[in-house]
Amino acid sequence: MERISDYLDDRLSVEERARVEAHLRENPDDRAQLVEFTEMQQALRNAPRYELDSGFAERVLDAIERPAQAISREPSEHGATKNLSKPPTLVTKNWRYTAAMVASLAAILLLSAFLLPNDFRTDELARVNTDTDSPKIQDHEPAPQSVGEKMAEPDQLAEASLAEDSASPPMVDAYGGALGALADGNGQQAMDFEAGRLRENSRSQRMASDADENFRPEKKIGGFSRAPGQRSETPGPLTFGRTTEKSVRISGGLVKPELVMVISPEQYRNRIENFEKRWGLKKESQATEEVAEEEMDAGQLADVEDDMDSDLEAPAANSLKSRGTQLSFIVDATEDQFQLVLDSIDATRVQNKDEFIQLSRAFTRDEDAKRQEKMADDTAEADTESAGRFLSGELLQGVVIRRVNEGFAFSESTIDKTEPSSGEPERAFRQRLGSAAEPAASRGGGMEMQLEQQETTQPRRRYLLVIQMVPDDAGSVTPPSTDSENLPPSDKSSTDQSPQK
Amino acid sequence: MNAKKPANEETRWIDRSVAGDSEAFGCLVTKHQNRLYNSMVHFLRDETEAEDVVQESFVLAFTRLSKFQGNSSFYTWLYRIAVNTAISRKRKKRPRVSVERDLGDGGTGIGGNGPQPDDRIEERERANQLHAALDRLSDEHRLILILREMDGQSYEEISAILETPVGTVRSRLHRARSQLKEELTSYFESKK
Repeated sequence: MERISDYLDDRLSVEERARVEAHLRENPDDRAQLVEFTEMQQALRNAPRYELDSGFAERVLDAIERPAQAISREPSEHGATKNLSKPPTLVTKNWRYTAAMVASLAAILLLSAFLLPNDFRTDELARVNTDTDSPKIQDHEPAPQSVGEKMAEPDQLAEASLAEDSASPPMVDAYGGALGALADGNGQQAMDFEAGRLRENSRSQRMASDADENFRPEKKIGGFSRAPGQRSETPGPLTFGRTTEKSVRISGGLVKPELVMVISPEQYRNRIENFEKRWGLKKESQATEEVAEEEMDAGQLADVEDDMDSDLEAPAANSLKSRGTQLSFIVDATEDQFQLVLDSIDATRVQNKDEFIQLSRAFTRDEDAKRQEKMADDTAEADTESAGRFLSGELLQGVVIRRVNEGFAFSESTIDKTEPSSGEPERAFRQRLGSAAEPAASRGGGMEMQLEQQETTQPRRRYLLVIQMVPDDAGSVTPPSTDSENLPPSDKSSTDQSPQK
Repeated sequence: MNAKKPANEETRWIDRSVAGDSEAFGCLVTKHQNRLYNSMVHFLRDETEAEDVVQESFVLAFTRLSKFQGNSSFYTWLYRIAVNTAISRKRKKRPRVSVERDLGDGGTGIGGNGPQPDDRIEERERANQLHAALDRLSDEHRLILILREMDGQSYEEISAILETPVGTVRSRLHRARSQLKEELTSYFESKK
């Protein structure tokens, strides 16, 4: 009876209203419906309200002005405001977490490198590209290339404009930052990244600085006007604001081109700041933790079962009350493939949700811990709920990354819903799976052989990777004792990929 | 007089914005950003996505401001852009892993007259139920409920935003309420 809605919304004349009221007096069902509608209306009106921060308007104006400035060098009869067809770029001013971000992004780079099939094909790229907001690359050959070489020469770059890439998933942007720095640096830097450990806190800043020195702004502008598919015959200096056309070989795996966006240091900084802002890192008064959903899902890292994607749930990390940020994404891989990744980044495992929460919290800052105590009562329920959701996934493995004084270290957590084995020792867990991971080095043939071999002998499982980033001044924190022995030695060779376990 | 003043002021901002005055456009942004953002968070169930949509909508609005005829309010026009942007994004988005966000906890929400701590869990649970029920509605029904109940839009404004006749708004709103009521059976039971 639509009249009830009209009555509720006070859209009836006096006469109509009287008639409806008379009807309601005689029809308890309709009267009950009105009561429920009213309660529902009240509930909706009392729903939490969300507000943007005070800097939002400024960011909008920056987004409006920035592309106008960048493109205004091209003749336009409409003036600057008519050039604002590009997606905006959020702008913030916080540069605080950049180092941790760089390390995290490098780790993700590693993961993708290991999990990508070596015979990755162009048609797969095309498929992925049509499904994402990533700049489209339809025509290229996945030519392997060492990261020690110059990775992104102008003639090898796709025609993705800088403005376009702002619509790309965050991690695509992040790749660009990390690889942009790598490409500008030397091979040793890249290898350091490969091993997932940097020896000094300032390493990432230095890399960004290196990239600064190599930044050639004129190339960025020039890139906007190049015709699609146009290539030059001679390699040139690194050009920013582009997506590479070639796959990049790192540590025996290929990084898909669309994941490699080469950006300038300035662009990188903006992206990082955008990232910080987007995921709430600047909101120091806010105890909740923002969760960044990783759009680079399993389809881009490994085979994916699309029909399962939407059913998976990741932990609502805001209940963990840490001040870092988390990136979560799903990877389908065999146990050993995933183990190789974890070994290569010196990851360690936890066995249940409590350890996961404990480990995550261990990465928070001291002051956050104090705040957490105050909020303990409020959050206890949320934590339980969150962990419950975490466990409700198909097969979830979490990787927690943190930063320590000596460099970057990684920790890992494993939760397997299909094997409700809370507290089960890791060794037993592996044996039960029948996939006790041997050290990669002992098998010979390197990482690629190992991946290929395991491809045919093990079922793929679904893993949830949780990359937790913490402030670069978080200091040295002690993870759960069961995992501490797995932290990487600070003086370990940067190119050594032998498992730690 | 007072009721008309904001419109005049807004009209001036619009005129100045069309002339290239970004500061004036900033005033428009500041005025409408939170209202629009709140709606988009509830529609998209994702704060960051909502922020992106709102920002993109403002940028689009700026670029198209010269085409704004003033037949509806600026906010209605802006909202229509935002709705189209949000729907477009949702369509482009392929199924993927969902990192659940506990919007029921308020997120960055300001819940000014929120419950006392003792009631928070129960209140949050009910809020979660409400959000979950909203999520189960079609986009069409969820949006019209947000427009009407959360954003306080009139039938005529909703009609302009959705570009549908007022009669359609009326019937759709009733259907949306009925559907939400069905989804909220446990909600009502928990309140008894």
